[in-house]
Amino acid sequence: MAFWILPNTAGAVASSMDVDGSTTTATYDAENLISGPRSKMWRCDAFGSVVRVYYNLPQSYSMSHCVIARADLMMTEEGSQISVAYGSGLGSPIDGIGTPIVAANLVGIKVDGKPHGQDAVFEFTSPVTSDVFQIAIGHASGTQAAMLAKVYFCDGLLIGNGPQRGPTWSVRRDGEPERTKPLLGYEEYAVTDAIDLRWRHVGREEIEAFEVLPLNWPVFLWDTDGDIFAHKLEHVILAAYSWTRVGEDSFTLETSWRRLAHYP
Amino acid sequence: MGLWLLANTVGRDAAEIRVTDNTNVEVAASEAEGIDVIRGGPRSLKWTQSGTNQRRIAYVNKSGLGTATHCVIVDAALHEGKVLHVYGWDDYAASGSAMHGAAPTPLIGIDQRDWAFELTTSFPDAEAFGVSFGISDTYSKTVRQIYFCDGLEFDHASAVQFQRVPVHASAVPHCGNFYKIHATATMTVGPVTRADIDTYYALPKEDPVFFYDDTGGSDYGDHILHKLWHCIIAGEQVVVDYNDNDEEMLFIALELSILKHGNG
Repeated sequence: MAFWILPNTAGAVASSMDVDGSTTTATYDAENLISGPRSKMWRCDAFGSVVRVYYNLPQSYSMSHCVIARADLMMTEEGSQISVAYGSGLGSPIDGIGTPIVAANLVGIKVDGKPHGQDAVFEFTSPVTSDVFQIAIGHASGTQAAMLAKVYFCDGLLIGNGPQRGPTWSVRRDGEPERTKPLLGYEEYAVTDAIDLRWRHVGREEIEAFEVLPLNWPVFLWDTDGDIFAHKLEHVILAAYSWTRVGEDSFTLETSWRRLAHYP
Repeated sequence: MGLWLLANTVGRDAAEIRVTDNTNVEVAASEAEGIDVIRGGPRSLKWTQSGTNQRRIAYVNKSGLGTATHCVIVDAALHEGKVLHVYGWDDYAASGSAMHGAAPTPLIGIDQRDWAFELTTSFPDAEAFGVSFGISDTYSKTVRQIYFCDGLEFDHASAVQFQRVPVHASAVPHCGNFYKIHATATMTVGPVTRADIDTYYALPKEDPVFFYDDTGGSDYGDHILHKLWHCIIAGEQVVVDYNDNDEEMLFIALELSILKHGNG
């Protein structure tokens, strides 16, 4: 198993964002892709073939994953394809979904009885270093708009062998989200269920790497084999963390997370 | 090598804090106004020089300040790359003994902004301790707390726990000041002697103190991960135990509130 913490590394350091191939409206700004709740989205007007969204970074960074929240909104009548690339212009491709996005491409919790998740994860074969990262959205024919909630380019963090197995979500029975702030952030989010994850036998350098993650914003927890999370991907905020030194270079890391409210 | 408790013992015993040029000639009172902030209090307090000339800042007491083992400069990152000297004077304002003579490095602590220096010259009962800024660099000096400490060393620390506090948490009161807190921590130091206990209680703890770990590497400690904690002591308990030979063993269980850093 591999259990990744996926922050928005690119969003945290981006100097600008560009959209090429269409226009955006003020209420569906591209910067909504960086952070904020899942209800906050980017939308571009109908376009003919391809629209590209760029993260421009002040220097080169290494990325291991790309996560797209609400990729389910791309399962349109015409069908949409997504490719992930680095570099300006057309860029160099890293990964993508070449055929129209279908339910099998989606992970994350299923909302409102739908048979599929809402998000897509692209795990790079090896880390890619660049100062520009982009996604390209295309479709086979006609014109159509595109809408997404978040695009994360992530320098993912693997901690040891992953958290101890067996934690369960504390589910809010009333189904009503409550509003809370991340441990390290000032913006309130609507959140629902809670889970505690504990890593044992964690090294000093892993604790240090965890402490410098941009945890003021939501992150994704990517459980590649679904050992901890049945839906493999969770979009969460960090509610609390602590570490205890248990040996010369051995720590126990305890964390509490809240799941972001999902919407149909 | 161990874990040092560093309180501003010299600051407590100083009759005055002098701002001088590099020949120990005092500057105008208007320039020195507000220099008392270096003695303690929250990290947000600072004194900024009105000009750019070399300046010495010294704790002075002609009837004796006792000894000091360490100097700690809060937010020494403000002087990164700039040469400074740490001074001790058996006879103030004679020429004094200059130590270090280089940039403050490595920077340690939460966010790596502070600098701790173990004095290389022994002063049994100095009349003054100080720091000289801008020896070979012309710049306007901004200075936060400067501690000179007769440190109390502990060989062992156990049960070290660190828990991050929400960034939006309210400031906590302590001895007439309010402090924003980065994290709380607990640990037990010892075994210690009764003389150590007496020394511990005699240290000034109304202002924040430092725990400095000179074990481990240049940027981490074996006892405390961040190598330096700037904290208020929120609670303490002396624990008495006995070994198999019925000999007394003393420990101090500490509750710490680690101060929030920032460069405002």
